[in-house]
Order: sequence, then structure tokens, then C-alpha cells
Amino acid sequence: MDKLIEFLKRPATLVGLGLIAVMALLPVLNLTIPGVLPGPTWSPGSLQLLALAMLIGSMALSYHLLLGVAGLLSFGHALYLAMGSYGLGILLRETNLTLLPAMVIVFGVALLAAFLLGYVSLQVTGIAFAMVTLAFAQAGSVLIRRNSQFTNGEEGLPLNIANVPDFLVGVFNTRNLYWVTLLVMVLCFLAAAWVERSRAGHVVAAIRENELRVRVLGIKPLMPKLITVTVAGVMAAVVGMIYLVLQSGTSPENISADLTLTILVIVVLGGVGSRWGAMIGGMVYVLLEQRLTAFARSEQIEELPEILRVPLSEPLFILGTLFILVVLFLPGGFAGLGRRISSGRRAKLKELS
Amino acid sequence: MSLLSVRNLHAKIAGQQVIEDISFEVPASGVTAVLGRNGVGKSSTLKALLGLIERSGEVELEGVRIDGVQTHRIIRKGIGYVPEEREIFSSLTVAENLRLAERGGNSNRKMVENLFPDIYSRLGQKAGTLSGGQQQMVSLARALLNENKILLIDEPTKGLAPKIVTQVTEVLKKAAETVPILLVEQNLKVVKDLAGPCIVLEGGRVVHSGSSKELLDSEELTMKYLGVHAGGKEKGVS
Amino acid sequence: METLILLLVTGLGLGALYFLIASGLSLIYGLMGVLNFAHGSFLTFGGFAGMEVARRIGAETWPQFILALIVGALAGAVFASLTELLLIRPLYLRHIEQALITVGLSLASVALMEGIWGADPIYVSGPPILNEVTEIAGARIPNDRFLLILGAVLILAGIMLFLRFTRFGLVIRAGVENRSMVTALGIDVRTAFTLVFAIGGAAAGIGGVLASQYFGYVSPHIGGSLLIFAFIVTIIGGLGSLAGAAIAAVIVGVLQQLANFYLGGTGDLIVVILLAAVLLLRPSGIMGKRAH
Repeated sequence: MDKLIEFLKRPATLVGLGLIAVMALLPVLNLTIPGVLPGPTWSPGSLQLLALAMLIGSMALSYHLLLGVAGLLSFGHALYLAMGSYGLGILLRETNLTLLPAMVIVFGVALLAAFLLGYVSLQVTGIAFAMVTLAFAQAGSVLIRRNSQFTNGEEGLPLNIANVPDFLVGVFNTRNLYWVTLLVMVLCFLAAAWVERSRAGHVVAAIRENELRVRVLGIKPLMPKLITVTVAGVMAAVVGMIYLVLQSGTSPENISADLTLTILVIVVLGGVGSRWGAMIGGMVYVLLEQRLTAFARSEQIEELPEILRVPLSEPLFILGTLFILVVLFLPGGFAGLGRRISSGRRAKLKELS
Repeated sequence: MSLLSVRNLHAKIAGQQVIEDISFEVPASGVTAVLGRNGVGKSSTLKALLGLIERSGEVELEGVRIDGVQTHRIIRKGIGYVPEEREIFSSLTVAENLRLAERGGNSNRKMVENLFPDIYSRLGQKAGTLSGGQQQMVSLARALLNENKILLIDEPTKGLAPKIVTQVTEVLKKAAETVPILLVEQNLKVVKDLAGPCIVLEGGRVVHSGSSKELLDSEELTMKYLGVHAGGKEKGVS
Repeated sequence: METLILLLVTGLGLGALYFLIASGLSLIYGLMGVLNFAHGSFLTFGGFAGMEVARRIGAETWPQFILALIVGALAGAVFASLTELLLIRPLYLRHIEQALITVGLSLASVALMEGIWGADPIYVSGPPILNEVTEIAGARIPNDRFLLILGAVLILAGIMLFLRFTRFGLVIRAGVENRSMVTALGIDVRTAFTLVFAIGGAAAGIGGVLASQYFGYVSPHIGGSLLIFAFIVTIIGGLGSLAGAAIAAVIVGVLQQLANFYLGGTGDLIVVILLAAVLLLRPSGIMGKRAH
């Protein structure tokens, strides 16, 4: 009990709880954030966008476990998102299962798949590991595109709502989906924190720093890495399942290397090794992406001389360049910058006092 | 004035401190030995001098600071390096290995050809197919090809048969006539044969310096610093 | 029989294209430890440069076409050299950051090319003989395949001669085996780094012009779609080995065509399975060195 009270008193926890409360209240408030949200915060359009942002934030959290905690560079993480979305979609379409049982089955399959594929890919390290994960994702992509009778191929798989509970279906119930997504994101954050603090998490972080030293201590590196990989994969699959319901469908884009690369960019920009950086980075990315597209087409850009207009009118150019600048000059990402600013302020305060 | 001056040299490998606060002088002629048990930081000292590992401290070659300089520039100032494990390029031929090492300017090719007749008869052979002794000769030849101010040589007799050890010692003797050598060596007979001054390392620090003859003639000092009998036998072996 | 010959030659042709990209990837990784995800953009940029030349002076005659090839090679080489000097060199020895920065570069460069030339394919044509067909043992083979194969063979020969007979080539071969020892011989490897990027960029640029002939168009995405297979070829052949890349390119190209035809379009899947198998059974590839 004391431990719980200690936990609740920590500033990080209070801030976290406060944020959750604010986020939970948004659908009943009439806030507008012009330029970012398409409408007031109770409108379905805004809630849909915010929910998507939280899903990508959760996805980024799962990737943070791989890259930030375990130091594993994966190019095939989107595979698990697709497993979740396509798995659930196919079950809902082809069987009479209701939502919850179907989700449990997909969860179990994803768990098994993440464990097995993880075991195989962890036989190699470094670049070879990255390539194996890429290969698996590519194989999955091919499977999805070619088995159209189940997956609807290139057109993407729509959500079959027959067995989905009513409170999650329909535009007016977007707020319910929003709350579900918020819950998922909180759970993902807690899961990530739990893994990082667990023994496996500590071992895996030590491995990331110096695998040789860990081996010399007699610890076998495979199991903790495998645990991390499996948890990350399952998280992504859960995100995938919610994605299917939120977007009323899924498409082969969700298994593309582009998606994994985007998540990679997000995690690096947010700061490798930072939970908050990954989560907030994911949310900011989604909210800004549509903003960036609007900006790119805006009047101010139209009026610029061609040499500036052409690059700035391409949102991916701005993202790519920002990414390059961060890698070159801000190795800790934006979270690192935040840390430096706050520690700088603390140092200043110390000086003054 | 000494040729090489080292003051407060520290070095790290993968974040671990391997040598600490090392200071010594290397005279402008003769062979100076670096001695100590396995793992005390002898090779790391040579690597730190060349900037091959992360280091701090002051290093002067002929009075000019080289501690902040990049490795290839340090080498070009006139240092020949013979690493532990030889590190010749197995996929290249002997000739190519030698050609790569030539820095232009005055080459000692004639002298080297006379010193290493066996190697020069195998110029077209892939270096990876040479025996250990032959590879060591290539590694030494590489360092002698250029006009160098000093040679840094790391355990040149390691893993070689006694006959080859004698050959290597002869080569080193000949080389020492014209260029000073800083020699890391575990084989005490070779050290006795070649070296004048020496420094002894322990735990990454200098614990003794002086004449190598005096050290190796003293049973007490040899046992204390090197863990072996003055005759060269391992502790505990009669 | 005729189909088999057509499939084999087409496979060799695509393999040639993969090799033109893989050669650079392999040397760059072998010498520098850098995984260059922007290499596809070198190809794309070369293709666009060649297209601009063709647009201005035409490309129906061989001299004109060869000029387009030269410009494409130069464009690729310049783009690659600038990348090395400005983005890779500042991150010396930080291999993960170097790979990440090439990811950012690939995103930004493709977007930039989309901005300049538009996202849609731009159709190109070259010497008319490429559109014709040659008969070999009853198989009717389009001539553009032969151009691809010839191009790759010439590049392979050119690079191998360079590696064997020039001092830079010697430095590169030694550096692929042991980079720090090359430095310990007083050689500044960084010049070799830029050179290797330039060579890789030139080969990719030529690949871009040839690819535009083969596919009939250029678009900002042609490099990216070929890059994934070039990576697979590089890994299977062994990072750092030019000969390995060549052999793997032939295997992957031919296997892809055969599987697509005889096994119902599973070419891509078979290649991926081959990659996974190689990585698990022989991670250093057919002829690769151990990883840095």
C-alpha cells in the first residue's frame, strides 16, 4: 500500500494522471484548436483524428521498446500491426465470432507469431536482424496482396460490423472509440514502463550497451530480447485491431516498409530511449501531418520563389530534412532537448539560489 | 632530448579505462622495452600513442605535440607500427601489402630486400597463405620500408617457433642500428638480447622504469613485476 | 524452351539492374559500415538527369544515348559524393546514425524529385534498336535486356580493374578487410570513403538511365522499388564483396523470373525466403566478410 501511495505522489505520475483526465474529458468539452483539429473537440472528425494520433503514439511506444530499450533495429514492425488489423478483419468477415472473442484469438495468434518470428530473427544481430525483419514483413505484404479472397488484395479490407457491438459503430459513437483508444494508449504506456523496469528490461538495456559484458556474466541474452520483441509485437497487433475498428477497414499500406520507416522516424525525432518522446512524437506526427499538407499548399508557400517553393511544398521533404537535422545536431531527439533545457534551468536555479 | 615524450597518458576502450597516468621518455636510439604481465595495458599504450583508441594526455615526438592529431597524420610524421597479431591484409598479395605501406619519399627498399629475402621471393603470393613467421616478417618489412623516426613494435615473437624468434631478433637488432624502437615483448630472452631501458606496467600504470638488464638479472624484481623467474620460467614451475 | 530462354535473359537483365545498385551498396558497407538507404535515389536522380539530356538533344542515336549515360553517371556520382561529405562524414563511426540519416535522405530526396518533376511517370525512349527483338534459338528477346546485361558487365569489369590496378583500389580492398590498419599505415581512409560513394553513385546513375530504357519511363519511385531487391542481393552475395553481389544478382534475377512464371507470380516471395534462409544459415553471405 505504501508503495502505491509513493508511486501516486511522484510528479511524473501526477502529471500523467492529469493528462489522462484532460484527454478523457475532451469529447465533452467544446475546445477548438484551429489549424490542428478540423473542428471542436466533441466533433466526430476531431475525435477520429485524435484517436488515430493516440494509436500511432501507441505504435511508437511498441517500437520504442525495440529500438530504445533493446537497441534492436527492426524494419518489419508494421507486420504485427497488419497481423492485428487483417487478422481481426478476416475473422469478423468469415466467421460469426463477436468482437471480443475474435480479438482474444487474434491476440493469441499474434503472441505466438511474435514469439516464433522473434526467435528466428534473433538468431542474428545488427544489420542482419534488421534485414530478416524486413524480409518477414515483405513476405507478409506479398501474402496479403496475393490472397485477395481473404484480404481483398490491393483494395484493402473493410470492417464487417455485423458482430461488432453497437456502441463502437457509427459516427455518433466515435467518442466511445476515442475512449477505448485512450485506454489502449495508457495500457501501452504502462506496459512499456513495466517492461523497462522489469528484470528483462534491465538485462536488455545492459545488452544494448555491451552484449559481451552481459554474456561474460553468464546471462543468456536471447530470452530477455525475445520477451521484449514479443511484447512489442503484441502491442502493435493490439494497435492494429483497434485501427481496424477506428478506420472501418485496413489496407496493404499498413504493412509497407514506409509505415515502419515512419514509426522509426517518429521514435528518433522523439528521442531514442524516451517513452514520452515516442508517444508524444507519434501523436504530434499525426496531428501535424495533415497540418503539414495544408501548410504545403498554403498561400504563403505559393508565393515563395520557386527554389524554396518546390521543396517546401512537399511535406515529406520537410519531414525528411527535419529528421536529417535532428540526427546530425540533436542526437537525443526532442526529448533530449527537453531534458537539456530542464536540466539547464535547474542548474541556473542552483546558481541563483 | 628524448625522441618521444609521454606525460599523463590516459586511454579508454569501449568506455573502460585501460591505462592511467602513464609517463615515460624514449631516447633517440636503441630499444626501449615495455614490460608487464598479460593484460596490463602494454598494447593499449602503443595504440594510445597512435590515437587508435580514445586517449588524453601529452605526447611529443621530437618536441612536437601529437596527442590531438589523427592517426594517419601521426604515422606520416615518421612512425612505423607493427601491431600484435601482425594485421597484414590476407586478401592482398605480399607485394601489394608492401606497396600499400610505402609512403613515398625515401624508401629503404634495398635494405629491406636484403633483410627479408624469403618474403621477396614470394611477392605474388596471397598474404593469407603465408606461415605465421612469414606474416610477421611482412609486418616488420612494412614498418622498415619507410624512413621512420621511431618504430612501435608489439609482441613480434608471439606464437612463433624458436628458430623464427631468433630470425626476428636478428632483424630487430639490425633495425635498431638505424632507428629507435619501442618494443612490447613478453619473451624475456629477446628483451635481454635487445633492450636498453625499460618501463614496467601493472594495472594500467607505470610501476617501474630503468635498465632492463638490471631488472631481468634480478630474481626478486622479475618475480615481482612479471610473475616469472629470472631464467624465464613460469612461477611455480621448477 | 523459347520461354525458358526469354525468362533467363530477362532474369539476367533485371539481375544486371540489381547489380548496378548492389555494387555500390556492397562496397560502401564493406569499407565504411554504412547501410545506405538513399542509394535508390542516386539511381532515380541519374535517370532523371539522363532524361533531361534526352529531352534537350534527343537520344535516338548512340552518341546521344551515351552522353545521357555519362550525364546520368555524373549526376549519381555528384549526389553520392555530396551525401558522403555533408551527411555521412560528420557521423564517423556512428553506424546506426549514419544508416538513419540515409533513411531521412531517401524520404527527402524522393519528395524533392516529386516536387521538381512531378509524381507521375515521364516516358522516355532511346535508340530505336532497343525496341526491336533479337531471335536466339527461337526465343524472341527484346534488345533492352542485352543493353542492361552489357552495361552491368562493363561496370563490373571497370570497377574490378580499378580495384586491382590503382592505388585507390588497393586502399579500398585493404580497407574493406581492415580499416584501422590502413589508417595505421599513414593512409587517410576518408578520401577512399568519398571515392567509394562516388563510384557507387555513378554505377547507380548509369543504372537509372538504363532502367528508364527498360521500363520505358522515369518516376521518383523507380529507385526505391529496385532498392529493396538490391539490398537482398547485397546481403545474399555478402556485404563487401563485389563478386558476391554479381553472383547473387544473377541468382536473384533469374529465380524471380522463373518463380513468377512457373510458380504463379511468387517471384518476390521466393526471393524473400531465400534471403531469410541465407541470413539464418550463412549470415556472411556467399562471399562476404564478417560484419564490422
